[in-house]
Amino acid sequence: MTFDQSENPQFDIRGQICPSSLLVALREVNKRQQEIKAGRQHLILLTDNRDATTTIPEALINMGYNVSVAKEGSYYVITVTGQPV
Amino acid sequence: MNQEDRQAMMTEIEQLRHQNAVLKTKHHQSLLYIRDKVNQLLGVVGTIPLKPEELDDDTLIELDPIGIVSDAFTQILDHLRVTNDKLQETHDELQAIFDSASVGIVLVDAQYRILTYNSQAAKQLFQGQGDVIGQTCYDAICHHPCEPDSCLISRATSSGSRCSRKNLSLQNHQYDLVATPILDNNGNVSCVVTVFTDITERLRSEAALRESEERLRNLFENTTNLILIVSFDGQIQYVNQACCNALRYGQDELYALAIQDIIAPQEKYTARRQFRAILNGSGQDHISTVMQTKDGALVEVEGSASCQMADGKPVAFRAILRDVTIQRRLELEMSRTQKLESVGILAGGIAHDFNNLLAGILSNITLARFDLPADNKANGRLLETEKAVVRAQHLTQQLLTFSKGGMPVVQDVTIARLLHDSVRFSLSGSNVESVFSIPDNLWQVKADPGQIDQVIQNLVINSDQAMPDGGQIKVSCQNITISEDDPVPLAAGSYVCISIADQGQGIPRDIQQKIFDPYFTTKEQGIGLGLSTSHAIIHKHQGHITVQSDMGAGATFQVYLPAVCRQTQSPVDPLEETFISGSGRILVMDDEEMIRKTTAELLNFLGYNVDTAADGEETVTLYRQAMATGDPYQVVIMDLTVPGGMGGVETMAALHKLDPEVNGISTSGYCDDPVMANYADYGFKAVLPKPCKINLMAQTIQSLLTH
Repeated sequence: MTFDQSENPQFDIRGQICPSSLLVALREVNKRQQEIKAGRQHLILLTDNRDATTTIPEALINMGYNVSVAKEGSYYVITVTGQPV
Repeated sequence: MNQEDRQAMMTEIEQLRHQNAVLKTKHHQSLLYIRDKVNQLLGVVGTIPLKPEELDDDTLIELDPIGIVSDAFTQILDHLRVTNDKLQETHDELQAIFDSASVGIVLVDAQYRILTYNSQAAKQLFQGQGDVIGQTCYDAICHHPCEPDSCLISRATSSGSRCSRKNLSLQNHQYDLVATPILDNNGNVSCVVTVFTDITERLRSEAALRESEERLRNLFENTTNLILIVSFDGQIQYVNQACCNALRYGQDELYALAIQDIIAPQEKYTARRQFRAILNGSGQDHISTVMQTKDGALVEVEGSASCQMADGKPVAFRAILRDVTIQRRLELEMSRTQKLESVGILAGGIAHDFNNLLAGILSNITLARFDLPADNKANGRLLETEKAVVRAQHLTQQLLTFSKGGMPVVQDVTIARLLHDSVRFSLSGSNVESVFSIPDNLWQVKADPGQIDQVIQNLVINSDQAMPDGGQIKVSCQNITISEDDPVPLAAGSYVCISIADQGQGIPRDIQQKIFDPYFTTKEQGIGLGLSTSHAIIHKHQGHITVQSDMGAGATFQVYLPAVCRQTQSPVDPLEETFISGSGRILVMDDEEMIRKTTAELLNFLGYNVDTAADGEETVTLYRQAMATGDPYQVVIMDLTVPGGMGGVETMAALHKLDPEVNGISTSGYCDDPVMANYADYGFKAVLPKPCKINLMAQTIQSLLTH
């Protein structure tokens, strides 16, 4: 797992499977919830676990985030942003 | 270390080992508990349980999944709260929209139970019923058991698709209905949304609008005003029936025309300017123009026009016009009549004096003839002069008749002599000859000779003008008896029919009915009064005048006059005429000294004893004195007009009081005076025109003295 400390952090959780990938995603979103919900940041997760493309978005949508999933070659890019008020 | 100390230490170690074992057991149980609870939480979040190989115990503790998930739950709850708030807001908004809808909306479930409804539905359908949620729609709305065949909600439920129905009668109102089924996830109808649009008022408005339109249409189509709408480019867009009637076009024919096509050629330029002014202006403008009918006749119109605007631009003009053709003609006639009346007043003013002068001239000529030997050549000249004086009197009479339509002063007239004189006079200097065919047994007529002379002259002058290259006028007479069955519009009785036939070009059939109209003329210099005056004169004589004509075959006018049924006396040579002499006392009243003098001389010549008076007062005094002496007057001849004194009518009334049997004769230069026409109503026994020939005076007096 690598950590990108740029303005819009990116987490590479490829190799992890659910539920640990979900817990990691939730932990990182929890840490940045104010920034993401305020629209100042968005979070990018890279995963190669197909289940994660369902469990992570469902959990995050219930928490009030916008989530988009895009396939990039052999992995998926999950982008988490705040919902417009 | 002693044994005791070692023993104590061993005991303490043993205790520690035991505590460690207990702690390890508790640690393992705690980790199991944590894993179990984390798995529960993950299940709630929607993922699979943790696997031991996925997260070892140390990583599990380090990761703090409970903290992560509980934090996530906090956010989920926050999000749910926000979402619920939004849902509530949305619900409130929808409820407000639902309630503010102008149509009634009712939701029913598949069992026809009412789930909800808006306030308009409550007002329209459930007034006085309280809350109807849970009731069936057929109980709460239709108030009768469900009839699936005719029920819209039932149809929407069974078909699963939207249904509608127009003009349904419910609770004394008319509705348009739309029922929309809502399907659940399984495709079954969960409820039906029914929209009730109350169209009662709309139907009433539509009916009122139709009535209003019908009223306006009737008004437009039945008005005598010409209504038309013309587009900006001059195309006729609407005309009413009156417009079609006036212009003699069909409606479709007019719609194919431009406004300029129905304007008289001489008015096109002016009309175009008027229309432009209306289109460029605002408000209403007066409009006056002349239109042309399909067959070329002219129609004068006037009225108001206004501009129709759209988006601030003129698109058409509307005009409401009156056909003023007849009114203009009447105005013209009135103007002419007023002029004639002015002439009449002037003529009336001078006629009396003129006739008095003529009376003096006539009396002196007559007296001069008596003074001459019978074989003196001057007798003939004097006789012609007498006739000229009488004709001059007729001219005065014509002028009065012309301008005032004076009533005829009828007497028994021998028409043959009058015809000869009138025709000869009218054809003086003409290249047209006259031929007479008058039977010896022709009856006399009841007529005013002056007026009949005027009629004959009018007819003969027309005939003369119809033959500019010369020709012949045939004048014939016959006795006619009219029965009730005869088509001639005359009372049954005896008449003399006078025919005057020419050899002119004839009168076109289409104008034969118009030739007696006032001011109708085909002559450039004519004023169109000759035949209309003739018609009026004959009508006042209780007679009739007709025309028969074919183009190229001349025209024949026939005049019917009431007959006396007394055979015409053969014309007497005026030079050998004898006068009926008489005796007795006659009183002559006239304000003119010359008239008193000459009349007295004529009556003296006839054998009468004559006194004269200048006014009514003197006449009454003389009459009273004569009665008192036992030698009364047998006849009193009174002038009707005495300026500044008692005239004939007042004097007659005064004499009647003295002597109810008084033989009063009225005389006047105002031959159109109604007293002359209706003398008996004023107590007179006879009338004498001024001037008056001696033989007429002798006959009139003699007839009074012998009856």
